[in-house]
Formats: sequence, structure tokens, C-alpha cells
Amino acid sequence: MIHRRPVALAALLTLALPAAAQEASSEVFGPGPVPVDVFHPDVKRGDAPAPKARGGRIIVHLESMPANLNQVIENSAVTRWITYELHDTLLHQDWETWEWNPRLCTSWDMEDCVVLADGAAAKYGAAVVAIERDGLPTRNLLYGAVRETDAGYVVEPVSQASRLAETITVPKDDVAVVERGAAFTFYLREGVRWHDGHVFDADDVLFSWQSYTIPGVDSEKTRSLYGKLIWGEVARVPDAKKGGGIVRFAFEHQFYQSTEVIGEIPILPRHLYDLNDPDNRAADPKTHAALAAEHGPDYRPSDEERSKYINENPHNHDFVGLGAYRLTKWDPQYIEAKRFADYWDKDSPVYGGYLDTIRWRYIDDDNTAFQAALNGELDLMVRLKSEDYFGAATETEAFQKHLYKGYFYTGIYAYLSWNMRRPYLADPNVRRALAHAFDVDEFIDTAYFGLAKRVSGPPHYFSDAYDRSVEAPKYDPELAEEMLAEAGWYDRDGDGIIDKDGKPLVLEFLYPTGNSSSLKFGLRLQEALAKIGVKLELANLEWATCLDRIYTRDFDCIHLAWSPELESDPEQLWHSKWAPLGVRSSNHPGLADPEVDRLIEEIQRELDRDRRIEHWHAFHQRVASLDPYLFLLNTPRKFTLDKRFRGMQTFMIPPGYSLRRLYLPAGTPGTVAIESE
Amino acid sequence: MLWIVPTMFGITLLVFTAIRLAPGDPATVMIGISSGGEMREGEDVQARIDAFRYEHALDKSILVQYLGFIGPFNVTPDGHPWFGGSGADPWGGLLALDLGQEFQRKSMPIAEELARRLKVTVPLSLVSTLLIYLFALPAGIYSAVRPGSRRDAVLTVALFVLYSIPTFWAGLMLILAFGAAGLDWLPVLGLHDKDAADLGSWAYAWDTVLHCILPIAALTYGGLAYLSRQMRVGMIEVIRSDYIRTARAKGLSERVVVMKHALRNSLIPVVTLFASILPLLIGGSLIVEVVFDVPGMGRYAFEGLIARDYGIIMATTTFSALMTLVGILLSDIAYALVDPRISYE
Repeated sequence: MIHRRPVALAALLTLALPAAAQEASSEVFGPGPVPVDVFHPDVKRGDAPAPKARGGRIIVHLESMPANLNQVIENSAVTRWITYELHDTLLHQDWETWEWNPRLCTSWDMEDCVVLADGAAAKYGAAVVAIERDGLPTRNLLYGAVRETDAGYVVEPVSQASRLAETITVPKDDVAVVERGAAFTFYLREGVRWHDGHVFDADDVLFSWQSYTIPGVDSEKTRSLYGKLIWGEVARVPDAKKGGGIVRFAFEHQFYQSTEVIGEIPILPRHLYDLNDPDNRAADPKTHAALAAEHGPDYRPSDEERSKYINENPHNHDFVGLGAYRLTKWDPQYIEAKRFADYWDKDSPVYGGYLDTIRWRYIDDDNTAFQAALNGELDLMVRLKSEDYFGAATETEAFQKHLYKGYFYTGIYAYLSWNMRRPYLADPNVRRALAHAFDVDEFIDTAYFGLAKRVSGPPHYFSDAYDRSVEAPKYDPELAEEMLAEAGWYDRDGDGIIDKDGKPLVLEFLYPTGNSSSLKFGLRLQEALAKIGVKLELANLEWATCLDRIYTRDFDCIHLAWSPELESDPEQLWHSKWAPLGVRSSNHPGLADPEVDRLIEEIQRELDRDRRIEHWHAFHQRVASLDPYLFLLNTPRKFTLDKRFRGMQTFMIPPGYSLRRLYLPAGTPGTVAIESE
Repeated sequence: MLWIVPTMFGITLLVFTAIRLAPGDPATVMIGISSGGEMREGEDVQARIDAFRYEHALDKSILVQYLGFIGPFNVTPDGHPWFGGSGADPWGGLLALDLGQEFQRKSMPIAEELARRLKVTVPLSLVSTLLIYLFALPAGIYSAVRPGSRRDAVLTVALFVLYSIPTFWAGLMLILAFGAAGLDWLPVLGLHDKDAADLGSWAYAWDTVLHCILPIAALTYGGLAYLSRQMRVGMIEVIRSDYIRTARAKGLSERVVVMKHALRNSLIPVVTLFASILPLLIGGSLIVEVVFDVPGMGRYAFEGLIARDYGIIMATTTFSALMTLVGILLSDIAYALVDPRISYE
């Protein structure tokens, strides 16, 4: 299973080095420029960079078809990848510098929130934001830059169109809590147009957030994320012709990922999705006007009607976005998009795109997809299997004639999760002993030709959150046997299997059917554990059944993989509140440790990056010491690309490459050379 | 023929029970598929699962769910008020000729997708079946009239080899042999070239023909071997019968003996095989469709099974079951046609 978080929240660069340098095992961490076409044979030969041209088409492999492209109701990885080209966001984290840049806004302000104590709101008049919520007391807050002084909290207005006219001091008795960095104000760009020609403005952004608050909208997948936002308003009305305007939001609590969350909130065209939008009358006669005619002039659509309209909107498929490419065809076997002539940033070398057409071709079977690439039916495939990458398949003339191969690292790491609820795996010494029994480094050398990286804990391997001082358990089968014996596990009956209380230590190794990497690892682990008297039985189950076993916690150990972000929220995987049996969560091993809980909560509230990194390191050390997983390796993603395409750069942010940076060299038929950029 | 109805009912009940007993929860799988395997927070996951089950009436008793499949009542939240629905869409199920919507693509009616898949599968299978009969019957006859000869032995070995080759392997070998990795003679993926939309009518048709060659070859070779063996056995049995000996004694030529007197009777077992070929023909071949990326009905059934989409599983199995029953009916009728001694009252 691959764990994928929203693209917005992920950010980490790949090893930004030429292949030769990578082979020399020097690693680069942190932001920086990423070289281009490092695996391209011509570049390896030292040829000059190919001059750029606009035009042409690329066909990209898609392993599953998205259900739809409305990210409010559909959060699959493929939807995110496709909408990355078809849509735009308020902010975007630069894949090379890792800095957040304005996209649909020209700039933004982040302010603090002073939550007022009961009864204090009346003193501050119009400056107060009163947030009414079902079943909860009204939350009154002031926003601005907050300084704590002896006299109280000084609140200074920073953003334009602020409710606060001047700097004020709020006595401490009037303050319930200060939430740092919880208010965001965006100054939206004017002249941005949706793919249908309608102007983009602040109402679109506000409505997009509101869509998460309408009961019945199928946004359960991301509701918890955007549910952290509790208030929004259009602070300055947009220009009717140019759009834009100012929009403001507030989070309930300070949260270390607040910029990512609000900066990449999926934006819906209000004129196509809101039954209350007057513009929708012209766009869709079935909506507001028709319903008003049917039910009377005072008619307002119910939440049920509004949610149904969003859930079943034809534009969930017939997508209308703000991006560099607009959807032109949705065939059962492919999705095609063409360059949008009115894209506001069409001349940008990073965001504008060079190719005229992008086609995502759906092929579910990786073997078939590889053959398709060989036969010229696919230009880019990023699911090249290890046996093909390292094997003869990519050494043939048919492959080398028009394709080349390469690899890059994202945060994906493979692990073996122990079920800590099993009595025989509850003892941390037993889990540590089992870790000592397997030679992960040797496995990396033989199965991955040294390309994979050994990991010792859950944070993203290439991020600062990862504590490089934490050492993974070393291969030491003798120590493993000693530790097991100390824990009471040794062979009492001479059958070759260690036992305790009359029960032999026999573990079931669960893995999803068809996963050759898991099988390879399982066989090696079986051999290694047999040497210390532990019997490992391999059990492969079809994915649906595997999921059932995971959620009912009915396994001894299971081999899976996660794809963490630069700083993934660790709560879902490691907090004790998701550990109990019966709670369907991603805390598969059932780890429940108060120290881990405390560190998670500190990470979540800490806005200062340096202090947060310290918490991350403490968290890494603590989790590693408890051995809930046998942390294994960070694996490279392997790709094949048609040699005609240039501009290939790889990044740590999924999907790890940008189609908008790819181009065909000048002189390629059907393209127009670019004079200068 | 009247038995078709209760038999169909029994089959649907059996399949429905079997898939409900199988491990794997469609809600969990669907959420896994939708979010790329990510499970964010326990509370959230449970809310999503509950919402999914409610939406698809999976929270109702298994009997009510079965009734929902058979119809005529729609038992989902929009369905009949008798089952707690809003009444907006009260009728559904087989009896209302409604196979429902897919779990993942909510706006996609299963019947519509099924029809689209059949348009792909049926022509391929028809050509394949035609080729099977076209080559298998002469090969079987040729073998039967020369039993024990070197040519019969060579043919027998060759056909047994073909019969024993697994389809997935044969498919991959065909791709490797005729695709870019080998001779580069034929396209190996899908039914159309990536630029087929720009082709004229004739070029488009020719492109389709080229794309169909390898899938049809993979669909055909196994059936060819099997049917020709059946034909050979049937023919040998007939050739050894007394009336054939009599025909030869009358001085008839071997050609007349074989083609006129032996062939018709030896066709009887081959005709009965049609009952099993028809559902295969309609159901398509999962393996061939996956290997050659052909979006047919076999692959649709497989996709439904992997995703635990009960609607797709029930629709495809029910349809295949119906085709099996129709096939049996047709073979019974054909029986009577080829053998006047058989009649049904």
C-alpha cells in the first residue's frame, strides 16, 4: 500500500545530482536547483542543451483512472496529478527552493488570532469576528500581529481591509488564548480566467471553502483537513470585470501546516457549482432560476440540493479549471488536455508549459504499460519495475532506440509493521531482536543494487525532520538470539523453532498479491529468521482482503510502504488515540506511547521551524526505540522517457516530475522554436 | 426454457451469497482506491466508510440488499419509502431493468458500461470463435481420417502443445515476437493507434484490424486445439461405426463417406460445446484483455471483483449466467437439427 498525501503538503527534493554523482553515494539534502535531463544519453555524452520549442504531445502512463477531477470530493493521487496541470492554487511550494510562492494571489498576509474570553467581545465592536458554530459557544476573535506586553496583548492590523482600524491593546483578562499564524488574507490576482472564460474572483475562493461546510458534500476525504478552517469572508469585493478581490480565512487553532492547507485548497468555479450564484442562471438553466420558478421567488436551495448539485455536477468530469491546460477529452482509456490560450501565466518557463497536448493513458498492468512504452504508445512511464530497470528488458535495441531510463527519490519507504497487540510481539526486546536478525544493508545491495536508502524512522528521509543520528538496528543474529533467550524464547523441544509457554514462535508474513518486492523481501526474511529459530509463513492476499486484515488488526506482520511528506502530520500513524482495536486508522502496529503523543502534539502546534525540527528529532528517536516497525528502506522511483523529450527534472514532491517543464527540441516537426525566454 | 427463470434466480442468489461471504469490504477498498491508500484519521475513515455504506445500502440487511439487486424496489437512500428511502427514485434492480451505478464512478450506470464493454468483447470473440470452428473442424477431420499416421501425430502434438500454453504467457510471447521488442510487425496495445482519431475511415478500419490480430490469436489458439481434439474423437468414433463400414462396402468414395455420412453425426458433440463457448464468447477473456489492454467485459468483471463493486460483479456474472443458459438452449435446439432422432416435447 502506498500512502499518498495531498501534493500540496508534500515537499522534498530528490538527489539533485547527476547519475554519476549519485552513484558515488553523495547525498544532498535541502533545497536547491535541480539539474535537467541528467539521465538523457545526449546529456551524459556532454552534448549542448537542446533549444526549446513549443508544441507536440506527450503520452503519460496512468495506472488508474480518476473517478472525477473535482478535488473537493475526490482526493486520489491520479486526480491530484492531473489537476496539477489543469488547475491552479492560491500558493505553490516551489519544487526547487521549497518556498511558498503566490499563484492566484499577488501576495498574502498571515496574522495571529486573539480568541476573546467570554463577555469581552462587546468592548471591541466591529473589530471582532464572531464565529457561530452548531452546538458550540460563539468564538470571538481579533486578528493582527500580536505582541505580548505587561499591559496585555498588543494587536496591530497588518492586512488590508482589516476589521481592526488601529493598533489596540487587549488586557490579558479579555483573552482566552492566542493562536499564532491562524489568520490568512489573500490579495487575489486580477484578470485570471476559468477555462470557460468566466472571471475568477474572491467569491470562488470563499465558496470553495464553504463547500466543505455544506452537509452532504462527499468531502469526507479532506473534510478533516479543511474543517480546521472555521471562518472565511470576502474582505474586498472583486471587480466585476477583472475579478480578484481580497479573501480572508481563520483556523480554529494554530497549526504547523496551515500555509499548505489554505494555500492549496481546491478551488471550484462558483458560477458552475453554487446554486445560489446569480451567474449560475446563465450557465445552467436547471439551477437557480429554474428552481426559483418552480418553488416561488423566495426559494433558496436546501443543503441537500446544494450538496447533490456539487456531488453530481457534470463538471466533475467536464472539468473547468484555472490551469495551463484545459481538459479536451475524457475517453475510457485516456484523458487529454491542451494548452489553455488564456492562461494567466502562459509565458512562465516553469508553469506555462511547452507541449500543446498532454494525454494521460490508462493502462492498469505495468507489464503491458512497459510494452506500450517499447512500442511507442507511451512516452513517459514512472512505474518501471526493478527487474526491468536492472534487467535485460532495458538493454535491448528496441528500448534504447527511442527510450532512456532514470530514477529519483520521493519519500516512499518500505517497512514491516509488527502487530504489537499480539502477545508474542508485545515485548519491544522481541521486536528489536527480530530487527537484528535481518541484514537490510545486504538486501539493499543485492535487491536494489545499492540504490535504496536504509531508514531508521518515520520522517521523510531527505527532510530536516529526519534525525540522521538515529542508527537503524545492525545485523547481528547472535545478539538477536541472545535477546530472544533473555525474553524467554529458546528452543526447548529441539524442533528447531524457539518457543515459550509451550508455543513456538511462528509468524505470518502478510503481503498484497502481485507485489514481487514484498515476496522477494519475505523470502529473504524467512531465511534470516529461520537461522534464529523463528518460523515465518508467507501469506499473500488480494488487496481487498489484505485491507480487511489490516483494519481488523488480524496480522502478525505486514509489508507495506508509506509516502510521507516533508513534514507529514504524524498523528494518523502514531498517536495512541488511533491505536485501540475497532478504530479504523493507520496506526497499524497499535503503538500507544504517552511520550510519542506529547511529541506529536508539540509538532502540530509549533510554528517555529527550528524548534519543530527538534521535536521531530525527539519523535524520530522515540519511535525508533520502540520498534513498532522494522523500518526498511527508501526506494527510488524508476522511470522511462522517450528520448525526444527534454527538460526532465525530478523532485521529491509527488509525482516527482513536472510535465510543464518538458519540451521537444526546436526543429521537431509540429513545433515552433522559442526565440528567448 | 421455463427453467431458465428459476435457474437464473438460483444463480444470482448463489453468486450474491458467495461474494458477501468473501473477505474484503467494498467501503474500505473504495476509500483505499479513492485516496491512493491513504488513511488519514480514524474518525474520518470511519465516517467515510459509514457514509459509503449508507449511500449504497450496504448498512441494510443482506436480504434487503438482495431484494435491491433483484428489484423492483430501490433500497438506497433515494429509493422506495418502504425501505427508508426518500422516494425520489423508488424503483430499481433487475426486474426494473436497472443494474445500478458503479461504486467508484457514481454517475456511471453499470448497464451503460456493460454495453460499451460488450461492443468490444463480442466482435473479438465472434471472429475468434469463427476462426476456431473454421480451423478446428478440418484439422479434427484430417486427423481422424488418418489416425496413427505421422501427420496425425505431428498435428496431435502441435495441438496439445498449443492447448497447454497458458494464455498470459502466449500473450506476452506474441507481444515480444510481433511488437517492437521483436519483429515490430504489429501493434500490441489496445484496439486503436494513439493517433487513430486523425485517421480516415479506411485507415481507421485497417488500424483496428491490425490491433485485433494479436488479441484474436491469443483468444483463438486454445479453443482451436480443444475443439479440434473433440472433433477428432467424435469423428473417429463415428468412422468406426457399422454404418460407415457399410457405406464403404457400398463402394462410396472416402470423401463422400467422410463428408456426407460421418461428418453430420460427428458434429453432435461439437455442437454441444457451443453451450460453453457462448458465455466465454460474451464474457471475453480476462487475461487477453488485460495483457493487450482491451477494455472488454472480462476485464470489467475483474475490475469489479478487485474493487469489490458488488453491482459490477452481479451484473457481469448474471449476464454470463444468462448467456450460458441461452447457450444450452441453443445447443439443445441445434441437437435436434443435426440429429433427427432427438426431439423435445
